[in-house]
Amino acid sequence: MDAAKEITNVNEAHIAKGFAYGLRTGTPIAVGYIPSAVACGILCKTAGLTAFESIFMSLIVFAGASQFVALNLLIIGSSMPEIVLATAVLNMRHIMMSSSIARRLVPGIGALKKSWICFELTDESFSIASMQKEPLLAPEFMFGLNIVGHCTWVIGTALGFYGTSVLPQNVQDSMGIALYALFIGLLLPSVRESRPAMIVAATGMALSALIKWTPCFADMNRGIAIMTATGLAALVGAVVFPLGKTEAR
Amino acid sequence: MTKIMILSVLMMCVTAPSRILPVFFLGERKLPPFVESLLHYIPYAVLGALIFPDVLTATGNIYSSAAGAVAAIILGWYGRGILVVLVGGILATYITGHFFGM
Repeated sequence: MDAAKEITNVNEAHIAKGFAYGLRTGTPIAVGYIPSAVACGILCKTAGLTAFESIFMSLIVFAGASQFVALNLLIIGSSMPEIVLATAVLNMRHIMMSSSIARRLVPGIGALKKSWICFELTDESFSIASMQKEPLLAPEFMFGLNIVGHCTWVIGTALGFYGTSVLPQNVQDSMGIALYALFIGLLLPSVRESRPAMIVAATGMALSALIKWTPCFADMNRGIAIMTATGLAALVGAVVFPLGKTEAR
Repeated sequence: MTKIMILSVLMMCVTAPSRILPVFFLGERKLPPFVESLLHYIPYAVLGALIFPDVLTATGNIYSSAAGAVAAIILGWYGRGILVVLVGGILATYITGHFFGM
């Protein structure tokens, strides 16, 4: 609403606009996505998806972390409701990103355009959009910014999928580790920077192991066990290291 | 529609609302700090819970799995790109698997 009041005073130079400018701004994201997208394709193959299913999933879900988690849960034999629940929980962080970006969009954009912008929003395009020096963002700019990443994600998934098929069988057998290597590669750089994040991750590991190795929980479904460990560990983080007090991120 | 395609549609159906609805309902309102903290920590918590202890049974052989995990940890800690960590982990698993008759 402040933005709406401001716009009458703000001149055109304060709006990030233009589809082409969005595309250019989004190019670093696209480059950054290629490894994860290729990894996603490799994992889809490992999890037994067909090429079409892999591409379909990347196209309509377009959420790296939840796709990796979903593939993992598929591999360990979780049911569909559990996978959907895990996806929902994991993507709740989008609430913060979408509401933050919504406040910076040029006022008066139609509901459909707004929805599409936020549907395609990811951690990365959010980060880039937030860092724009212009206080307001035009929809065409956001379309350009988002579409580069979305296309790269889908193409990378296909590349990873077909790339895997040409590898020798004994290398393919070693790929069971791929998903975990990917998770480790995602987690370690951030926990190295932040002690609270490291403690939360370690708590998640400890609880996950505790549930798996405690005899009375041994029959507990693995997907539910992981969600339980996640919830409790995040709770520990929120109680012990509330944001804004211990860490500004 | 295959099972995976139905799953993808359902995943989209639960992802889209948390992306789109805030635009219409949340507006300028801030979430309570506790909820923001909780949402902030979920990615770290879920990665931790997913990695351990299941990584030990990733390939069905504890030695090759552990070797892959250690390689990934070392490469990840030193901030290598995600693909380097991935390929490093697979290579370490592959080589160790050779010695333990995988």
